[in-house]
Amino acid sequence: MRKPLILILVAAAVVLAGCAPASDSPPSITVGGHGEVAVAPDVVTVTLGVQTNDREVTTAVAENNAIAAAILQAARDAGVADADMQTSYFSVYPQREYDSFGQVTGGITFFVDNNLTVKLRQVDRLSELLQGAVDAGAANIYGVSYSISDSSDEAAAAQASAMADAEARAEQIAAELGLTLGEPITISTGTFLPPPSPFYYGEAAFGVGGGGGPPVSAGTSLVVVNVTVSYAFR
Amino acid sequence: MVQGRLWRLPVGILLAVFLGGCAALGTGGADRTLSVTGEGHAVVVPDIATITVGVQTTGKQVGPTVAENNRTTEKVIAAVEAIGVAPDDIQTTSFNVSAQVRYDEFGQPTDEVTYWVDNAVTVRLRDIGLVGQLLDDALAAGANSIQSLTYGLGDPSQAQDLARQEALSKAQAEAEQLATIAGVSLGALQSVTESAGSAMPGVRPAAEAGSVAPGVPTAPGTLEITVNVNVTYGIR
Repeated sequence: MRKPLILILVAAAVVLAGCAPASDSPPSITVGGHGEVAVAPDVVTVTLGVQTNDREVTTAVAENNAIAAAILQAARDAGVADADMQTSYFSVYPQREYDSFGQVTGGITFFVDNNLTVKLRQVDRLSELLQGAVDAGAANIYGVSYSISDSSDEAAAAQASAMADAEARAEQIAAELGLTLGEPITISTGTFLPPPSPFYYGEAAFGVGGGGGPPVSAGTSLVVVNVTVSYAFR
Repeated sequence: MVQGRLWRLPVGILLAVFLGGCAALGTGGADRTLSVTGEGHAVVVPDIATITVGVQTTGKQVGPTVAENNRTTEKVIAAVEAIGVAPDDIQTTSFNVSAQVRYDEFGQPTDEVTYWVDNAVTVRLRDIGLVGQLLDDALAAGANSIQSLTYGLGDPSQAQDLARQEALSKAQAEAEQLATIAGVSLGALQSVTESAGSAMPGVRPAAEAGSVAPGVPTAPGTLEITVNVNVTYGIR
């Protein structure tokens, strides 16, 4: 008789759950709103690295250390603060040697990697930084990713624009349906900086970097705000 | 077997009691609703093209390989600016240097290293009639990697308005039809929720675009803007 009892209780729970009164949320029009503001990026991130190899691990490491130190100095010279540099990868990897018959010879080649990730806040010196790193011996360079360090002002402007967008959409819906739009009931927001990719608009331009280094252009980046707003209506 | 079935009777009674209680609870709320979704589309011609143009060089020494890349990239950026793209619309999106050690036939690393240098800029072109020319000029200046070409709309709001209008009238028509079929009448509107989709490449290509523009033939085609609305009515 245990099973039937459980069944009854489960059934009762299900039925009672179904009884819960419909949600008390008032009648509403819910829309999304999108706002974006263009701004010149003020930070650029890049990873500068070097790989060396030698049959002697100490030689491979020593050689790597010398170049890595030169790269670090080049980054300092290009205006990167010490607080904005971080060793992001260091690896020593032994690789066995094989003879023509596929037999292990006993010889080993050591590969040493050292990568330094730097944030450059004087974005107009990127070209100088890259060229300096190459001249110092960096043969593994990854990235170039522009971003905005403090976007709070732009975020506020983008928020205002997102709310205006939401209201315009809701107004149109209300008008189409013969309703009058009321006050917002709920507002939720998400702010994000899109990944470094094509962004435009904006006022400041750094143009193409000079100094004989790699030509680079900072362009502009976008601060984007999306909101979801529910409005009351009559 | 007989005993096994006996319990079903009390279960049935209890369920009936619960359901009865439920009905009593439910009388106060306006629980009877009808929900429909309407989808509206607007097909528009894109007005912005985004293109990533790159230069890759390779060599046995890193310095000269970077220098060669620098010279070529400078020409490519100059070519892009020459057709009227503002510096604000050009952003460096990658600069990579990589070294590849050559291995001999026994898999041993040799002293020979090949260096690869990449520099790519992403360009926003506001006159899409110039896409073909931009590609042509960039390639002529030495670009050897075109990584993407996408079309977009500078301001999608007008197209969204049209799509929204269509979505709403479809939803209303659907609601009325459904109510008639179900033999109920539509009451007060309870909620409207919009979800605006992103712009997708449209189905109809703009036939004239490819042939007229100079340079590499490209066709911007159309973009389709979609808006969905979910509308809920009370029913009587």
